[in-house]
Amino acid sequence: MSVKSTVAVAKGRIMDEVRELWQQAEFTWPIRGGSRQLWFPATDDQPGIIVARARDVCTLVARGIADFGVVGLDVLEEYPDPGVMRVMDLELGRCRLVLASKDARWPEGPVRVATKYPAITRQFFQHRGHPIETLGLSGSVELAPVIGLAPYIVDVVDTGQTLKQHGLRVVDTILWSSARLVANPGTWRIRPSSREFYQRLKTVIDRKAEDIS
Amino acid sequence: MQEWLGENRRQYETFLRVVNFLMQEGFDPVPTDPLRNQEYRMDHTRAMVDLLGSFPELDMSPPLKLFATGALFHPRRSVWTEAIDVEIIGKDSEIDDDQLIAVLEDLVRQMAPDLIDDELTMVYGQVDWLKQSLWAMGCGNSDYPHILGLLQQGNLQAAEAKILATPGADVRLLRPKAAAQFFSILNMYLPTVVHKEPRANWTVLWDLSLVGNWSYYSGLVFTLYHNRSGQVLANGGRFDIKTPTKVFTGAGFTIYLDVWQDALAIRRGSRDVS
Repeated sequence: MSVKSTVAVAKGRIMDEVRELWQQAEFTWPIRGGSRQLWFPATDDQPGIIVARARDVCTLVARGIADFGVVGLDVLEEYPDPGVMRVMDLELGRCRLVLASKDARWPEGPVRVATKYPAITRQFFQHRGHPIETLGLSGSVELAPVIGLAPYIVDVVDTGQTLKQHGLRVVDTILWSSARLVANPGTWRIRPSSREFYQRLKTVIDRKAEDIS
Repeated sequence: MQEWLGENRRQYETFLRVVNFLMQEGFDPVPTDPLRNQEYRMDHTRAMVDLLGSFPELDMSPPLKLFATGALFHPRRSVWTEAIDVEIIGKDSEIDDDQLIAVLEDLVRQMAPDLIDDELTMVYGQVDWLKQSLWAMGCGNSDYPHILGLLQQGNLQAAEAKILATPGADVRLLRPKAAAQFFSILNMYLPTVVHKEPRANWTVLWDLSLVGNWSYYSGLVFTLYHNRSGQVLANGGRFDIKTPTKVFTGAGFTIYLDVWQDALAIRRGSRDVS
């Protein structure tokens, strides 16, 4: 059966793990090292790839430009989009979204929090009834407490090394994240080829889970 | 520029054909405000019901046949989509799903007679069957609202995980299937449900993961897809909407004119399939 699907993949640190998954599913990974090409069209037996910013993946899928997308749960929760369907946890690109500060203590009274994730941050503190002011940053968030911008940050942590280097400690974990496969609802429902692509990836994920257990 | 003007002309011709058809079929136009509760309009149905609810005495027998036109806002993508919303509102027993689907099919014939057989797929869901089948599988009473909420957000993976947490439950009904296969599984849980499909010439699939975009849907829901682009041409379903003073029961659908234009352009060969 044809697997002629186009997949938007979030550029960044999950790309290497997606390549590994691709190869395990016996697809050919089209991106050569050092290539700056961002679009690799699908063929009859190979899915195409669009390399996109994480925030744009759902837009490409919802508009039908891509049939599927690979994007982290942290991005999906920050920018929820009912125009796509979350169909599988790919169990790669694992990380966690944490609240961190210099002293690892829960804040006392109203506090400013620097983050790339203002919506998740506001929701987290709202559930705890704690007043905060969010300060939206687009990068280098861990600098905020060091340079006096905000005593707390909410950011993604992989190994924890960056936090440590800036003298920061985890106060609480807000979200455990991993990459999700999202699908355009139309192509998911009406094109059997899209389910063939899904099934090939699912077989690999299930096999890995069996190996672990 | 001539090409652009020609495209605009074709879009307005389609719009006029739809409006003329609805007026001829006895549907009355209802103007809805593009701003509702300090938000841009995302849905005509609720706005129409709010307007109806402001009349102290409302005769809904025979059912009201209404339509509204105007762009709908998609906040996630900050875009407006031209839409026409068609509603039949009245007492529950008087509104027939068949009647509504027949209106949609006639409308499609008016708009694009040559698209019907080979270019369109209708996917049906049924919110009440989802609720009943989950209960029959042994899921708890509190599971249904949670699972419905997940499906409304498009989170199929979490909804399936929630269902599979109940021993013996299965998720086959949450995958699109032809009617024969779907109803053979559904009847394992709901033996009294009879397969009765609204008449139509397009390809039909059933999928209980389709629950509609809005929380007011209460029965049959549907989405009409364009096969080549995968985009939604129309969607809708049966609803119950409570206002402070009244309960409105009805069925309706929204057709998305921009998507129709794209589908027709693809048919003419003047646009590529993305």
